[in-house]
Amino acid sequence: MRRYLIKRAGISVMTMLGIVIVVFFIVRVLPGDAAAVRAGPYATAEKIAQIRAKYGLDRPLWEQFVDYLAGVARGDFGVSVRTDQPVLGELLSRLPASLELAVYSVLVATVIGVPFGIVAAARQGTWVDVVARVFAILGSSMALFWLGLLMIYFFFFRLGWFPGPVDRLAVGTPPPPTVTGFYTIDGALAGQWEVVAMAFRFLALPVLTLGFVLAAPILKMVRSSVIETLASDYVRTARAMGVSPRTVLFVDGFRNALLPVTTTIGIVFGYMLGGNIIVEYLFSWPGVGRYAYEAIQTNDLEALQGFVIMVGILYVALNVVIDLGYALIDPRIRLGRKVTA
Amino acid sequence: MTSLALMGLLPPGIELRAGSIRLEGRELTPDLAEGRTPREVTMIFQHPRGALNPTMRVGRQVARVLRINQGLGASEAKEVAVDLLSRVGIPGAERVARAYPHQLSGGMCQRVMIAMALGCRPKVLIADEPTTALDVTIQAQIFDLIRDLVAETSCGVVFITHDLAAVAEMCDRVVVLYGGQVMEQASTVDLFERPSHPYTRYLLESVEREVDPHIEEKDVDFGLPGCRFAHRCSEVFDRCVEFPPQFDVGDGHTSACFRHAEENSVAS
Repeated sequence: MRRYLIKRAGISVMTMLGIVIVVFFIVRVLPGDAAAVRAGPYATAEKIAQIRAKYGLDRPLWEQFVDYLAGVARGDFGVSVRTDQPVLGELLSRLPASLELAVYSVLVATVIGVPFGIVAAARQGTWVDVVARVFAILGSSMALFWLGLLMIYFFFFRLGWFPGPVDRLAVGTPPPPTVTGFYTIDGALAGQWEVVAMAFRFLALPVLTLGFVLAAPILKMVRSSVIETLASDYVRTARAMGVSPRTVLFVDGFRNALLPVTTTIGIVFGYMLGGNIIVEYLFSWPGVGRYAYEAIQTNDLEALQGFVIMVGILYVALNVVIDLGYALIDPRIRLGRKVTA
Repeated sequence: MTSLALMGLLPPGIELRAGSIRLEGRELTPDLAEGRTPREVTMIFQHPRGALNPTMRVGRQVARVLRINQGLGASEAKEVAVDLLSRVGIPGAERVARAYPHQLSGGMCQRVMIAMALGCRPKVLIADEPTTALDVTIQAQIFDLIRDLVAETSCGVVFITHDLAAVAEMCDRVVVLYGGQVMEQASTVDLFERPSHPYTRYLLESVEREVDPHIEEKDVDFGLPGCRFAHRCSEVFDRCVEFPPQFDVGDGHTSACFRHAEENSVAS
């Protein structure tokens, strides 16, 4: 197990190095000039050159790269051209907002997708199954921004059930003292229940938007894997031995379908780490996704590559966690040892 | 398929429509048609490892069956499960009970299956080619085990196999099936002494020597009326397009072939 973790850590470092290299050069290829944007529309050529020199943008590309790599190794992701702040600090201060959104969205998606998928598999071909499949098709073909707009239009503008897409809390409400960065948890820890309630109300619409869309792949995967396990020989055995249909469904069927389902939930969560730029923008959510969006708008190279590298690192970490989860789920998988069939 | 019907475990899309299944004079057909498995019947399968839940320790799988079929409590079921595992000839049953199916050999898995089946206290055990996936020495051990347990528990066994040697060794009575139709029925001794149906004779011949290649393997056409063996039968004639009834050839020995009608009419 320890050897496995060490090996895995080594591979992860290589992956991240690859990510840094690719990201660095792709970002340089983007059109536009960060220094010119920073200097403003009325700046003289001299002023732009001055800024370019300040951020090292005038040096040869590969020199910049070596510098950057050395910086990343020390935990220094450079300075944002737009805000003049260290990129790492800005990303870390915004990460909890994104993670809170991601965790609740995946939770909602799982709560919808898993039970619905199981029932659809158990009652294949009935109306429940049809509803589940229609839901899955809707979820996977619905554009996030469109669904988000519909949510805002109906539940905020028309019905007024939820607050508008402005931030994580109402204007003027101080956030709870930071422990985890999740307002819902920090608020509870500080005993500020009205803050917790408000945080949930502000989370509701973006979480429902994402949860609905993310539930679709989970539902589809649960349904198809459970159908597969229900057709297996061991399910036939269990039934031949008098085990009740309900137990067969959950203990023999769903339990053995967990592996592909976990993979899907992991992929969905990984997608959330980098992919909710649209929803964060739509709901003015102060997370890393919106930060990246703003960075793109202003040619803020350091900020953008900091974001991509951070997402890459989170993704690699997530994959290690998923692999560890496999070993818990399936006794046939033992990490670090050759699998014998 | 017939045995799955006996268990009420027919796959979706296939229904029990006609016929009758009785056990000790009790009609089981309606329950089976609705997919309820009868408590008195249980089944062991061809691929023992695939037939065990891969994510559950085998001891727990046996204990689960005991809890359901004998109403034992959790801790008691655990003990009885270990007992059962040693009764089916598993050495170190306590240790094996904590193993997962993939950690056991095929023969071991089949023993676990038999232990589970015993836990159901069946009156009829259906053994669907229980040894085809095992090698010959293990096969003999499993045969012995099944025979011993039958003697001990006085449960009946329906033994499904392609292996005539296994039939000769294990069975009292034989039903020869081809394409789902009953071809011949007799006591084992009688069947081997005077096989009456062309298919049975062909089967027995095929064990002794290389058979005539004109009878090559063909898929059974279930859509055709009449005897399903007709298109491969060397003695086929006009009447074979009809479905033959069972002809009594003496001593509770029946055979479904119009040849018998011909012979009788010639004799009389």
